[in-house]
Amino acid sequence: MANFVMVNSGHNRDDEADKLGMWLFLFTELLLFGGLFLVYTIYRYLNADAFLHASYELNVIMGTVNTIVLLTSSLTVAMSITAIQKGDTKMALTLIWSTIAFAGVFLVIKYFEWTAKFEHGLFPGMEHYNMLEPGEKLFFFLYFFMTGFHGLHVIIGGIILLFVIAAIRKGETNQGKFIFLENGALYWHLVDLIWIFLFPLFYLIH
Amino acid sequence: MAPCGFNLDIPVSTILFNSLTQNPELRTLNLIIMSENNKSRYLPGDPKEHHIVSYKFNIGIWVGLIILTIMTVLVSVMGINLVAFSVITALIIASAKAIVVANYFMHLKYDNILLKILFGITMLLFIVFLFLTATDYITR
Amino acid sequence: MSTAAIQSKSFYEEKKGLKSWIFSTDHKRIGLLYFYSLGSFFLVGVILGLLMRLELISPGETIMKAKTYNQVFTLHGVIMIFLFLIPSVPAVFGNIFLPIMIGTDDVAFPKINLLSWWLYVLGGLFALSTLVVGDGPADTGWTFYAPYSVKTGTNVSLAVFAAFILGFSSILTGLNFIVTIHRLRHPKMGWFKMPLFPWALYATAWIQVLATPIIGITLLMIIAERVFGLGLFDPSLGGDPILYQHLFWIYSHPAVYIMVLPAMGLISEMIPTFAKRPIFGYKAIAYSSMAIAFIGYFVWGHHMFTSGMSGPARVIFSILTFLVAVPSAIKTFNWVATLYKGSILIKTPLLFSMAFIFQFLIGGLTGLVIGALATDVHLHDTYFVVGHFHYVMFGGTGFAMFGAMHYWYGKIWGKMYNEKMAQISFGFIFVGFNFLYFPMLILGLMGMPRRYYDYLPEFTTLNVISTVGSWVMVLGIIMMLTNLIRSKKRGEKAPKDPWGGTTLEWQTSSPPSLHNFDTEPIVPEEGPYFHKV
Repeated sequence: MANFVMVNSGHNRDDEADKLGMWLFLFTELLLFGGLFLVYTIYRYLNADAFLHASYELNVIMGTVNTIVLLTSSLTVAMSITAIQKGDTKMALTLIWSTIAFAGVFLVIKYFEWTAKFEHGLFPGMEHYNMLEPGEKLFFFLYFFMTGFHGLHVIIGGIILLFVIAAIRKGETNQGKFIFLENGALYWHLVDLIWIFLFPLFYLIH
Repeated sequence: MAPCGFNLDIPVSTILFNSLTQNPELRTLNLIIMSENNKSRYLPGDPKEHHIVSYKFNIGIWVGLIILTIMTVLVSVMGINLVAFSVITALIIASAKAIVVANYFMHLKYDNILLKILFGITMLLFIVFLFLTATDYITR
Repeated sequence: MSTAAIQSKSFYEEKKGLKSWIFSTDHKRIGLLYFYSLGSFFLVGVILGLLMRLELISPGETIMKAKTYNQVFTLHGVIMIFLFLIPSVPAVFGNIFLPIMIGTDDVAFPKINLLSWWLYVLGGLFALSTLVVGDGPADTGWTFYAPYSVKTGTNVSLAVFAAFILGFSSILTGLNFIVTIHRLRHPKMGWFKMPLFPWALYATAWIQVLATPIIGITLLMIIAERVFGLGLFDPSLGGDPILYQHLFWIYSHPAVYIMVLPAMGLISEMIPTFAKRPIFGYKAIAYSSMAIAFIGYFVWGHHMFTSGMSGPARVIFSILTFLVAVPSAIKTFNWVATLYKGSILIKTPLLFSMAFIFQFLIGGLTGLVIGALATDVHLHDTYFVVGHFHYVMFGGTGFAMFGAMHYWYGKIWGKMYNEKMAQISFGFIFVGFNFLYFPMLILGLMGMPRRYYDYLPEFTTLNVISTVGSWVMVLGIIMMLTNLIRSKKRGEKAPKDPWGGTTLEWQTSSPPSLHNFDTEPIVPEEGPYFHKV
C-alpha cells in the first residue's frame, strides 16, 4: 500500500509535460518535411533551369491567397487561446470554427489548383508529364508530393481542432485547463509554418 | 484534496489519501480525482503563470506577417532577372515569418526556455543534414 | 519481516486475463508485452540466420536458390533490425525500469506507451505478411536501395510500410521517455543523481525522435514511386540513387546508436553492481552517451564510400567517423577502471557484461578499419562488414540484453534463475558466437563478398567453422531460455536486492507492486552507485 504521496506520479496533471510532448511530436513533423526539403534542395541544385521553368506553371495568385488564408487561420486559433484564457468560451468556439472554415477555404483553393494541373496532364504518370524533361518531372513530383502531404496535415489539423471543440463543449477544456486547445493550436501553427517555406520554394523561385 | 506540492502538510488529506489507496480500483479513481481537481504540476523553470497575449497584439503580429508575405511576392515578381537574389530574399523572409509565428503564435517566447533551445537544436540539426549532404553534391 | 507483512500485491496480481495485458497502460506490463513479442521475432530472425549459415556450409546451391537466399537475408535484416534491435532495450528494459529507476510510478504518457506497442505489433504483422502475399518477401536487403527497390516485383511496398509503422512506434517510445525523464524524476533526483541507464535511454530517445522522421519520409517516397511507377531516385528518369542512400543513412546510422547506446547503459548498471564499487567516471559516461548521440548524426556518409559520393565528402565523413570512437572508448575505459580493485562477484550478468566489453572492442576496432576511407574501399561489401556489425549488434546489444535478462530476472519475474545452468549456457553462447563471427572477419579480408548464396571453394573451411559456430551458439541460447523458463517455476523466491545493487529498483519488492513503490524511495545523496562496503 502506498503510504506516501507520489508527487512525481505519471498520472498527475502536468500541462508542461503535455506541451513538451507535443513539441517533440512537432519536431518529428518538421524533420519529416525536412527530408522533403532536403530532396527538393538537392534536385533544385542539380536541375536549376528545369525547376525555374516548371515553376512558371504554378499560379502565384492562388498561392499568395492561400498563404494569407493560412496566416489568418493561424491568427484566429491563436486568438482562441486568448479568448479561453479570458473565460470567453463562446468567443473561443467561434474563433476555432473560423479556423476550420479557413482550412476548408485553403483546401478548396488547393483543389482548384490541382484540377488545373490535372487538366494540363501534369500529374505524375499523365501524358504531358511523361513528355517533360527529367528535371521538370522531379519538380512536379515534388510539388504534388509536398503539397499533397501538407494538405493531409491540414486535414489532420482540422480534425484535431474538431476534437478540441468537442472538449470545450463538454467543459473538459476550460479557462483553468486549456492545454488541449494549446496543443491543437500548436499543431495548426505547424501546418502554417511548413507552408511558409513551401510557398516561396515552389511559387516564387522565378 | 492533496495539493501536488512536495511537502504535504495537511494531515486530513493524507488520511483520506491513504484510505483511498487501500484498494487499487479506488486508487486509480483517486488519481483521476487528483488530476481533475488539482493544479497542473509546477517544476522550476516552468513559466510562473500563463501569459495572456491580447487580441490586439495578435492582430498586430498578423498584419506584420501579411506585410512580409506581400513583400516576398513583390520581390519575386519584380526581380525576375535576379534569380539567386530573389531565392535568398524569399528564404530570409520565410525564416523571419517562421520565427515570428514560433515566438508569438506558438508562444515560444513566453514558454519554458527549454522548448526554445530544443527547437533551435532541431533546426540546427536539419541545417547540418542539409549542409553535409550538399558537400557531396557541390564537390562532385 | 514487518515490511513483508504490509507488502501489497505485485503488478501481476492486480488484474488477470488477456485483456488486462493487451490493454494495460502499466509500463511494466507493456515492457513484458514487448519482451514476449520481441523475443518471438528474435527467434524467427535466428532461424532465418541458421538457414543462411546452412546454405553457406558448402559452395554452390545447398538448400536454397539465389532469390530465396536474397529474400531470407532481407527478412533476417528487417526482422533483426526493425523488429528486434531498434526497439529492444528501450522498449523492454527501458519501459520496465526507467520509471522505477527514477522513482516514479509510470511513464509520462501511459496510453501513448500502449499505442506504441500496438503499432509495433501492427508493423510486425505487416512485415510477416510479406511472406504470404504476392511475390514473397523483399529481396533488396534491409536497406531497400533504390532504384532496385522500386523495380523489383517482390513485396517491397509492404515491407517498407511495415518499417514506416515501426518507426512511428519508435518515435512514440522516445518521446515518452524524454518527457518522463524531464518531468517525472523523483524531486530529490537531479540530473546527475540519475543512474546511467536512464541517461543512456535519454540520449537514445533523442535519436529516436529526431532521426526517425527522415527515414519515415524516405520510405513514403519509395512507396509513392512504386505506386505511380516513377523514378524519384532512378537515374534514367533524372533522379539520383545516391540521394536515397544519403536519406536512408541519415537515419540508419544514428539508428545504430539507438541499438547500442541503451545496451551500454545496461553495462554501466551491471558493472558497478558486481564490482561493488561506484562507477568510475560517472559524468564522463553520462556525457559520452550524449556525445555519441550527437556526433552520430554527422557520420552517415561512411556507409557510402564506394557509392560514387564525391572525394572531399568521403574524406570529411571519414574524419567525422573517427570522432565517434572517442566517447565509445571513454565508456570502455571507464567500465574496465570500475572493475579495477573491485571485490568482484562473478555471476552470469557480469559474464555477459565482460563478453560485451570484449566483443564490443572487436566490433569497435573493426569499425575503425572500415571507417577509414582507404581500407573501406577494399573491405566494402565483404564479409568483414558482416562480421563487424554482428560483433557490435549481437556481441554488443544482444549480449547486454541476455545479461540484463539475468540481472533483472528476479525483479521482473520474482524468482531467481539457476546460476550454474546460466553460466554453462553463457559459455556455449560466448564460444559459439566467436566461432560464428570471427571467421567472417578473416573471410572478408580474403575477399569474400557479402549477400551471395555461393562462394569460391577456397573459402569453404572458414565457412564450415562459422556454420558449426552458429549451431553451438543456438544450442547455448536454447539452454539459456530453458533455464530461464524452468526457473520461473522452480527458482527460489527472489529477495528485494539479490546483488547488492544501489539503484532505486532494488528498493522495491520483487516483482514490484502496481505503483512501483510501497514506501517513499530513498534517493542516495551521494549519487546512484555508492556501495556501503
